Amino acid sequence: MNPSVRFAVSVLVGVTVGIVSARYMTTEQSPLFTDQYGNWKNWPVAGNPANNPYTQAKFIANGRLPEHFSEVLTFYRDRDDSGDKLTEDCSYVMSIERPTARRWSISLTGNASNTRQLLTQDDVISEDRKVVVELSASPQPGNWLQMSNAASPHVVFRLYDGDTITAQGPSGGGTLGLPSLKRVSCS
Amino acid sequence: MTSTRSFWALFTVLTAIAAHLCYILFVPSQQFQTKLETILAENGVNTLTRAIPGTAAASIAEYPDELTYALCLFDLSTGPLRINARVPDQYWALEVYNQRGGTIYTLNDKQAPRKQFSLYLYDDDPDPEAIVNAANSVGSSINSITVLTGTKTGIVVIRSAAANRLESARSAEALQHTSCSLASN
Repeated sequence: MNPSVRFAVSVLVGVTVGIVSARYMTTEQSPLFTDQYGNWKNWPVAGNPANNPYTQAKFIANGRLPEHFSEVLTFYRDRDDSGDKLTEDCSYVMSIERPTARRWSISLTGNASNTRQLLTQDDVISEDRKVVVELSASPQPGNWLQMSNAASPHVVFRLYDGDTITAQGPSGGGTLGLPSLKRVSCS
Repeated sequence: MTSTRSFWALFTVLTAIAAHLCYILFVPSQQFQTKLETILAENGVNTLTRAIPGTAAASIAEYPDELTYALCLFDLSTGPLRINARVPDQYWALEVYNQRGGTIYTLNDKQAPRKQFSLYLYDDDPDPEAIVNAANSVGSSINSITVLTGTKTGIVVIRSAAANRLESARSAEALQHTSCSLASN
């Protein structure tokens, strides 16, 4: 092969691989800079002045300013407890012991209309400490998050409260009691 | 032949590493800088702006249905910045960032000294007399906090709970009594 063609091919392949890998490393799917708790993921150094350039890039590339990890912990998941991808063709049940954080929220993103289904600690109905939320395309009684035209459903769980996070967070060695997410049925 | 192949393979790998690092280090910060310039053109500097849907400022809000966002792009080249803040009876947080989105300082409603306080941003170690003068200046709250940013420019973001009407009303009321301006003003 002609050396100048080799040069062009090498540069093209190198630049493409470099950029694609960089973009991948700043997505929620990236395994290197996320902490994994079952099927929940968290960017542990979000908001930390000493964070790495990948975490920084993940947020600012989207024009977002990350909340400091001592203020809010945000967990993401796109798989159920069995490890299968969430899909709008199935319905799911999420359950959790009511978190001790003074404020928390569960939401569903990835709907085609880009609308976010949100439940906060004030919205959920629960008779005892156990909170059950159903995720499905069709309406359900009780706590329900609608999976409407969801191309890539993601569940987001947010815990506010520096004290709770410090005491129970990953660095505190305790358990945050993250919700379970079980598939119920599929159409 | 083998050494030629090895050379081009190594060249490709090094090109990939260089492109990867250039992308990570420069592209997101450049994208963010462009966004900040848009916000600056829309709202100006050293002034508090509520992130209302449809505005450039709103684009920094990751959870707009959960929180109210207000921001102040600051430039300390002509003097310290003063934020007079009102803290509502609910979740509230103030965070100071540098131009690259790194956190410099954070404060929440539980840590705030009072429901109304002043926060001063200095880019470098100020003269102690300047701190006293600023704290005693007209418009300053009796409770004040001094923060050294180590940078002349950055962003202050105030987030407050807004998941329902009551929370939104409390946030709006608090923001009405919150301001961001040069301390000399």
